[in-house]
Amino acid sequence: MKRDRPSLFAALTVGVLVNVLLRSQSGYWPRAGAAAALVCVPLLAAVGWLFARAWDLGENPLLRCLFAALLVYTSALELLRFWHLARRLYPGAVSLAGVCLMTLLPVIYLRRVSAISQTAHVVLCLLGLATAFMLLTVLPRLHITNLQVVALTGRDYAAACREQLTMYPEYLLPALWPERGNRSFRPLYKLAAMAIWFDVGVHFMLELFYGAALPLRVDPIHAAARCGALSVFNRLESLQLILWVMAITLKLALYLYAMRRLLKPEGKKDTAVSLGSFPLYFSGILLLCAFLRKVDIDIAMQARSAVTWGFVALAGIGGAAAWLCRSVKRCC
Amino acid sequence: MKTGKLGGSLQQKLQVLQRIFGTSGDFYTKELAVAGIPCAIVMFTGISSPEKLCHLALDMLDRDPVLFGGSQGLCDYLLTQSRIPAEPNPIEDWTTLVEMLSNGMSVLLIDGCDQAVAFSTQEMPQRSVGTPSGEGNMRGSQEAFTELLRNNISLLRRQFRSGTLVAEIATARTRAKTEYCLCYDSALAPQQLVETLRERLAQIELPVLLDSAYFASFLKQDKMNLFPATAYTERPATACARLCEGKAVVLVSGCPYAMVVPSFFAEHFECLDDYASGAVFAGLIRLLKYVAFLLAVFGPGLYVMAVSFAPEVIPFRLLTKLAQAEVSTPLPPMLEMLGVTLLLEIVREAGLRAPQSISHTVSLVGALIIGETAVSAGIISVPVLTMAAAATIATLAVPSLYEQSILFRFAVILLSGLFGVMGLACAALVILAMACGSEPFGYDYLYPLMPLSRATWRDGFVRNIWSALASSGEVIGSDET
Amino acid sequence: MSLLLSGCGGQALSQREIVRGVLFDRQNGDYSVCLVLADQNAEETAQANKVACALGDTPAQALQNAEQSLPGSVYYGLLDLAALPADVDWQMARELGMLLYENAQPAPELSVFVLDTRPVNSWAREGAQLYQGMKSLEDTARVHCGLQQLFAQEDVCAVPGYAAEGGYDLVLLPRDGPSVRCRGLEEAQLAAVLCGQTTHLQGTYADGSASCRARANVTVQNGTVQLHLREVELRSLYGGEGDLEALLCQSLQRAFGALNYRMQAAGADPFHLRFWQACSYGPGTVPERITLEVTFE
Repeated sequence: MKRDRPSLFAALTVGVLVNVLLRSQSGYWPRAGAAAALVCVPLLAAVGWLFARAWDLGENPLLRCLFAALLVYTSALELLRFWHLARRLYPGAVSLAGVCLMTLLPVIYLRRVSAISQTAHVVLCLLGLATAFMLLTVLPRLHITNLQVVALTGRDYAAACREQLTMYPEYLLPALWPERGNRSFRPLYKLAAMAIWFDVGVHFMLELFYGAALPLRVDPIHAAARCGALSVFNRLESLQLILWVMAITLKLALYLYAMRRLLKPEGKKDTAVSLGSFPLYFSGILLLCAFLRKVDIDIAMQARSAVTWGFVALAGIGGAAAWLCRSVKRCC
Repeated sequence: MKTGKLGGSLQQKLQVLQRIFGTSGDFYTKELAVAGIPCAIVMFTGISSPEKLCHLALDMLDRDPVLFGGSQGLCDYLLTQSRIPAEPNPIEDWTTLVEMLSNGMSVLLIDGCDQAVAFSTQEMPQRSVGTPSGEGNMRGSQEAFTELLRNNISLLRRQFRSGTLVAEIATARTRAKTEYCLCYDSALAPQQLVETLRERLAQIELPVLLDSAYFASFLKQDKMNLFPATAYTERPATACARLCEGKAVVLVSGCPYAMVVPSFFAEHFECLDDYASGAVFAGLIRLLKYVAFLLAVFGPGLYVMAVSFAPEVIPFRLLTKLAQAEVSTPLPPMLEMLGVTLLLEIVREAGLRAPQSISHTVSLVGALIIGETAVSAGIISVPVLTMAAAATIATLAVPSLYEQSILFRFAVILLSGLFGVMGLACAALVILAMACGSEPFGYDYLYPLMPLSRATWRDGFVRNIWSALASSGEVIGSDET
Repeated sequence: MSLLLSGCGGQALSQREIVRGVLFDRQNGDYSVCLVLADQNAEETAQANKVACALGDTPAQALQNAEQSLPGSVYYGLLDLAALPADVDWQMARELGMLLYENAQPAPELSVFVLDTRPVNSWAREGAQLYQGMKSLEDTARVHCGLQQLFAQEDVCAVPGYAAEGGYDLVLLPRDGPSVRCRGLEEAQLAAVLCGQTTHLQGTYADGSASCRARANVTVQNGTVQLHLREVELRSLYGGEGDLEALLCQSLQRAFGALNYRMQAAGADPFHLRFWQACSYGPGTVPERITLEVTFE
């Protein structure tokens, strides 16, 4: 029907789920992941909630610029990560420019909040269906005896925590649109829980599928999808890839909208990115991708997470300082 | 053209009219005296009937013994006291006078009076109410709109017998001063929608308005979006059903199609027969239409992508057949598919536009050339032709999205052929984003299909049984969930 | 623009050499590879295959040489079978598996077999036949080992072996011990059932004196491996009237004892006994004496 304030929760959910799907290697054993999730879910949600509070109190042009830069950098990394995946799957068939063009082109039609919101609902449904379909197709290949029975060590738990505590901008973005809902802890908790438990669930399925080889497999989800043969069609993994491209584009569109909010705070009531800003956006992202094309993507992703944590800390300090100043002023 | 107030003697007025319409053969004037006051009747003979005028007014005036008290008295008498069914408002300026005459009214000019009286004596040549030609339905009303605005309004009012039906007639800002009518149910249609629509329609300036579709582009929020913000129907029954959903219907004089605002994606897959046949069958047919639309848009592109980039999706037995077919033709799959699709469109267009007597020949020759000669000459392969033909037939299952299907199909073939899986993904997302971002008048274009809710299964992808549908009618409105 | 003018960014089907099977062998220290390819020009497409073979010092080199000997570009998207040399060990199996993963990006469920112990004289003559033989063996015996199962356990892997004379062998490849090639119903098919690679027993037992056809599944409880046999058809081939069920039981138990002993000696657990032990008694517990119990249902 008609919405004056479309919810972006579905888009955020797609953003965090696609991080799980596009992971090039599994990060931990599911038992360790399940235990770590009990701590990591509330922790991530709490960090997101505190960041939103701090952002309300201590937002300033410097922080806005830093956040926008972080989003640009993350956008480029997402594109590069997908390019690496496409190169592994279709060697020699995909160029970086082609990936960028195909992924960024639909963003023009995703410049409105309502379009992002609606498309996210559709993509989320399709992702759910595709995941369920893939599970059905590999169901006969899941062996319970593939579960590993070795006792877990502290290192396993640490690895799981490290993976799950990767800070993605999706946890911070709700701070930018306060008018789309009150500053409630619940949506953030739901988002973190969905992301992390989906990750644990996927790891569990992969362990049932790969057994001891789980840590060795590159692009494990996509490789598992190659077994899909429910129908007369042999392998339908390329159709799954189509959905992943959609999810990445949606993520980039969400980041772009957030960047517009950050860089043009005076136009908070605008619900769309203007067409005029697209040439700059396209050329900027293309240039950045070309510049970063040789970096080790896994290291760059880890560095991005560390930088995001640093940014959260900076915003937290700024918010706390602003709160202290206000309290002191009030007392005086 | 003369503007300003109507004034002066009768002769002066007639001279002005002679200057405006003098060369027109169908302009008719007749001077007469009513109770001794010089008057004149003016009209266009093709669209107004002198007999009707005599029957309505002149006979009655002859019998009326009342003394009128001069020119102004006669005018006032005709407007307020007489039993003669004159138009209630007097004509006071030349612009209105010309408009009234163009609308088929007869006007009585009175000597020395600044006002004139109009009589509704229209008698225009018109097509009778026929059966719909473009919206095939087996059940339900078989009436179709015609070109005459008043008739169309009456057809609508006959179906929608409620006091809440409002039909606001206005004149478009065109050179031809075409009339249009905004119809809505005042109890169901959101006030904001009606106001916005009224305002936007009033602002539209066009050189000529021959079809309600001319308005459509002005009502779109995103001009780059290919999905329509409006739908069209030639059935009063369908228009009536849309009014019951709280939507507005725009009728344009001279156009036998009603424009429905706002329009949602799911509407293109619905028809009156859905509600007349059983729910299970209707649901199946609806699902088939969605599949047909997907096949029409993505089928050829998917074929090109699979053959050129991802043969692993094709069953092995089929793949070897496709490979053998591919070897026998000179063009790569993408160009072959593009060529065949283009040729099919040309044949369709030629068959549609050619005079009826030779359109069958065009289709026959086209089919023979493509289907027989080209295959046997090894120019195109059978699998490509089969896929293109299947897509073309599938397009016709959803005729209201024909334009979009064709455009999208070409884009999908191009992108899939050039960039493979990535291209197909890009095309699919662009189409999806267009559908999601269409937002006719702020409403979700994909409602009730997305976001998934009870409405999706109530009357979306499938239709629920009537007892469930009847319990609460679906009316457009706001939803902030 | 060049892509548009050339008509397509992909590759024509006719230019692809569609690989259906990759067969590895080792003779005299050299590796040889046979690529079984779909013959796109054949009339009867489903059964028509051609081969390309090459030698190399390493499997990777042999594979590369075989690829280079083909006129078109090699396409592995429809690869559905791989065969390992008859004298394969755990190390080589992993190496060849990794090679396939890296080069061919196959479906992890790609069927894997070990070649027959009888040496291959000519790939050109036998390659396509071997491929067809292994495919039909997979269908008739309903035994399947996916490529990813080579890696599913760290200390062992089990691969069905092609047997030219009929039936199939099962090759157990422990990491820290010699390979074991099990033959016949009592050893090979029992091992395949215990490894989860089949649910069917079909063949002769007790030195060919009786035949058996049954569906089988395994449960493990309290140190006892229970083999449940359903829809059992036992038949004496020499017309004797002995207790065929008891005879089958004894044969299977004897074979299981021998297999289990050899695997324990190699420190391997192809039958997942440690997993079931851990499920019952927690991780780290060592299973005591394991016995096989056959139940006819």
